Amino acid sequence: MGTTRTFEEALKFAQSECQTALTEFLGTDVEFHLVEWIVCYADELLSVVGQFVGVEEVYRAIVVGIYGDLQGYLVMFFPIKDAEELAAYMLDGESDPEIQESVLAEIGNLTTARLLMGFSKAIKTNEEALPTPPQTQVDFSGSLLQSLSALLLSQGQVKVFHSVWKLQIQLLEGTVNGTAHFFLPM
Amino acid sequence: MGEIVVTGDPEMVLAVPGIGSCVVVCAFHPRTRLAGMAHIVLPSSQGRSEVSTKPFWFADIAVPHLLESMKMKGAIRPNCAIVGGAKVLNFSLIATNTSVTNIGELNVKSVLENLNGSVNLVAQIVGGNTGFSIRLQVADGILFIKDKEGQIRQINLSLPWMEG
Repeated sequence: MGTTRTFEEALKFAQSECQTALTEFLGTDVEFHLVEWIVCYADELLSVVGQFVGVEEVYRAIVVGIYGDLQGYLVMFFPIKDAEELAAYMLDGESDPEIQESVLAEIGNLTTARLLMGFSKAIKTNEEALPTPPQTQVDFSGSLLQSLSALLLSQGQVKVFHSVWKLQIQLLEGTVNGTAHFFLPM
Repeated sequence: MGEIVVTGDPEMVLAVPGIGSCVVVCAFHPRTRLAGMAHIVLPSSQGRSEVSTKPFWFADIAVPHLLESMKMKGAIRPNCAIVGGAKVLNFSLIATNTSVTNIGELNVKSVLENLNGSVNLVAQIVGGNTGFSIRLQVADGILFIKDKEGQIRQINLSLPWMEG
């Protein structure tokens, strides 16, 4: 895909784009920063991501696929309680699960779009990238990651560029924490 | 992922934390007290270059190998449960590509074909759209299956009447 320097430029740009967009959307202080990036094998996702989330724990996850010339996947994990607090903050106490899901989905949309924008600018590509509608669900992180591994492997995508991002959203009652994992097959 | 274990060590617990589209074959042979597990990722090795390095990703290689490994240690026709094959990811843009969207279903079909009546199939907990987490205790052949709500099912793979 590119050199190490290209990756780092892309990541730095994407970080800035995401932080700005999420801060504007959520109307509160948001920290979105890179924890690490790694090139790994698709069948290692479980152990690599397992350093940041409990693979046997249940999370509220947001998953977005990216298709077209540029392909990839975004997976965001929020602890259940944090996701509920975030949705309640955004909806001023609205408890309709569908509306709550749509708020979280929008966070997935925004994050995907800005990460893609960052990467596309940094690697100077105009390749077409089509994000899927975000899928939000509650499940074991391990089940999602394992399914993503299988999906990548079924498409012959054996090596993956994986960037790990930490998301901290400051609410009146405390901080909501999440992690985002952006996978680009190589 | 893509691994096979066969053991008679009663201290061991074979675990898979988070199964989605993969299928895990759990086997236990009551007389020999031998347990086996295969964590299958994809249905078929046909046309795949990874066969030499990652053979047990594939149901058509992993299942016969698991059964043969157990048979070589005297565990013929073990009791068996299969878990997984869920459709956890559902991307609408690629819905027309069945080989991509139905990996779980294809995995289940291939595992059943490859088991081919060589085991006493005690349970199939497959399909759906959410995952499971499992543990198989070698000491007593009890399989614990936890769902995302935290509910745990127990399946006893050690009942001797199941042995062929």
